[in-house]
Amino acid sequence: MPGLRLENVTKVFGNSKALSGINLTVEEGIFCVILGPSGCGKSTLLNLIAGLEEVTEGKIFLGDKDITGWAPQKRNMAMVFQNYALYPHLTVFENIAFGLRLRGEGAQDIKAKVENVSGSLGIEDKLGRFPRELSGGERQRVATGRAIVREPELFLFDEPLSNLDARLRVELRSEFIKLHQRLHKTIIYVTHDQVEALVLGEQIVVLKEGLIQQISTPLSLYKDPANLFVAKFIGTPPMNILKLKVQDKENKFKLVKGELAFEAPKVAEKVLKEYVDQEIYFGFRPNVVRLNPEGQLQGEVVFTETLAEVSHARVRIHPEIEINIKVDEPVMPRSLVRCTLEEDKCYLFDKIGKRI
Amino acid sequence: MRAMKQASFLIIVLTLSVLLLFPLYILFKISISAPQDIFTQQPPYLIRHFTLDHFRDIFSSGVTLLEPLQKSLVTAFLTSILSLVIGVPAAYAISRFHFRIRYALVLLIFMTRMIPEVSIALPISITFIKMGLFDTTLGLILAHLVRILPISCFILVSVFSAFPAELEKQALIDGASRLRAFIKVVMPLTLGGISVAGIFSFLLSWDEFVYASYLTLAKPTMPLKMYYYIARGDIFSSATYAVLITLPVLILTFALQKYIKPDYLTGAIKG
Repeated sequence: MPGLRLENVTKVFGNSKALSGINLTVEEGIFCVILGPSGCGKSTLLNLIAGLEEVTEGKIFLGDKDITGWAPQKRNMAMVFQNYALYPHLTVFENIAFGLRLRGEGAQDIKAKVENVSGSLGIEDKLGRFPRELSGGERQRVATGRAIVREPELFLFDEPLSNLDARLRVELRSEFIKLHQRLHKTIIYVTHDQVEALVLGEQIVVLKEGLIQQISTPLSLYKDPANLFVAKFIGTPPMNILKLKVQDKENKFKLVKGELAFEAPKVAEKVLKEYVDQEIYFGFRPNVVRLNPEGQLQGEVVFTETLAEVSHARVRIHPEIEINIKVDEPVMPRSLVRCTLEEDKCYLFDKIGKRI
Repeated sequence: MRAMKQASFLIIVLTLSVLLLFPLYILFKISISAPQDIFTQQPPYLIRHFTLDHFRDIFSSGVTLLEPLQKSLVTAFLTSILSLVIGVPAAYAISRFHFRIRYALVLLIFMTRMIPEVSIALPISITFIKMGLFDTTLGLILAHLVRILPISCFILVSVFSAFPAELEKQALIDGASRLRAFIKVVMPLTLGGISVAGIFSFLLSWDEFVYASYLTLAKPTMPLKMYYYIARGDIFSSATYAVLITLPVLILTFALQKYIKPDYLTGAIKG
């Protein structure tokens, strides 16, 4: 059963289209991450789902109810804002209890629920404090607690970890996974951090300039990007992208730029016929290139980045082209290296970035 | 370097305070000094001969101060309450518009202040005579609202505009209606700004002169009464009246200043 369904949702602000024709189905209980650079419309999308903004066109369904025109307070969703939006004049206890009090629940019930939730988040000793007396991580937990305690049908998180320092971010990230395993509720989670998306999401929606680029699982997003934007956006360090010209040499296709030439992947030969003498984008991840003294690719090492167990070398293979290569051991700058490329693990995109 | 900065800041603040408070001190000094301290070539800065005679004179002269005082207090109090009752919802609604529309609306409200009061006070007073509002407290309050509402609206619009929208959205998502979100979240957190608007309205009504002189006859307000005695020329009674009209303002401001602090929103967002 779908937890949330968006049908052709469009949002226009004045003259600019923030979102166009968004179709998305999130099955019940799924952790769905909306990923995109800032200004791509992901927060707007969340506001539309929450009912804080009205859709210009399209419909929103929660379960089998059409909630398109509903006021936010009727939707039974919980939302955690990027800046937590804790009520500064209320204690942690009252912050968490706010929604329950509005619903008119009994004092006994409220106390039990708040204590239960705060216990599960490790903030039970902070209940008497005010938001200004809490650290960033504690504020984040209070905001999450306030969302959980109401037992909503849907959770909305708007970049909840982006205000925290890196270590805390990783720590709280795993708490989100545990939380989801415990609650089995549908979660819509917005972020611009691809690592966060890949770690948390069961379903990832990549958004750019108000358009959905791809909806898929983390793994296939990485292995099978739908277009150049997704390919560039996912993966650290990013995919190497080369702009090359297609050449047809006696039915053997080559991708060239000046002296540099690659053999086209075998699987792509059929489609490449249409692109002869045109420029296309050729992409491959740093981990499909290996140093190999007999490799046909030659270049000069510019520098090596070493991060604990992994090293990446940047190699200049053409006066204008540098690529990242995963290496087992750091290589000396300025040294000449040769390497081979697993051509069947490469990606081809046409001029406008569509996957070939 | 920092100590220097602090010191120069302190000096500036002290100088300004002295400049602003000195006239007030002179006024107060005259009201409690014996005539020989004042009618000399070089009046002393400190009080040499303390006396409460001037206050005693005024209270025993048969002049009924209680009535003007009461009228002024009631008028100022009700004007400030009404300016909030009308101004808070209006300003809240205006502050939720796009900033261009917001600006246009605030400007429109201020149009009412473009007409000099002396020129509309007479037509108002004629209309009030017809309506039976002349020389009544209600009439004066209505006239004061014309003058004061734009200013209290202006203050309140900036108060609500500065309020973080996330907190209100959060309340809506937590299940509050717009009204409850306003009462439970927006209002407690903007109390400082709201009370500034209230105090301001009170003060503006308290020392308002033009409308009061056109719209009252038998029951004058404090400023009118004071003007009468100042015009009569007795320096001691006018100083004493001036002190009497200033005191409530000082007391009120001191009593309410604890609401005027800027750190109310700490911890709400980021930090």
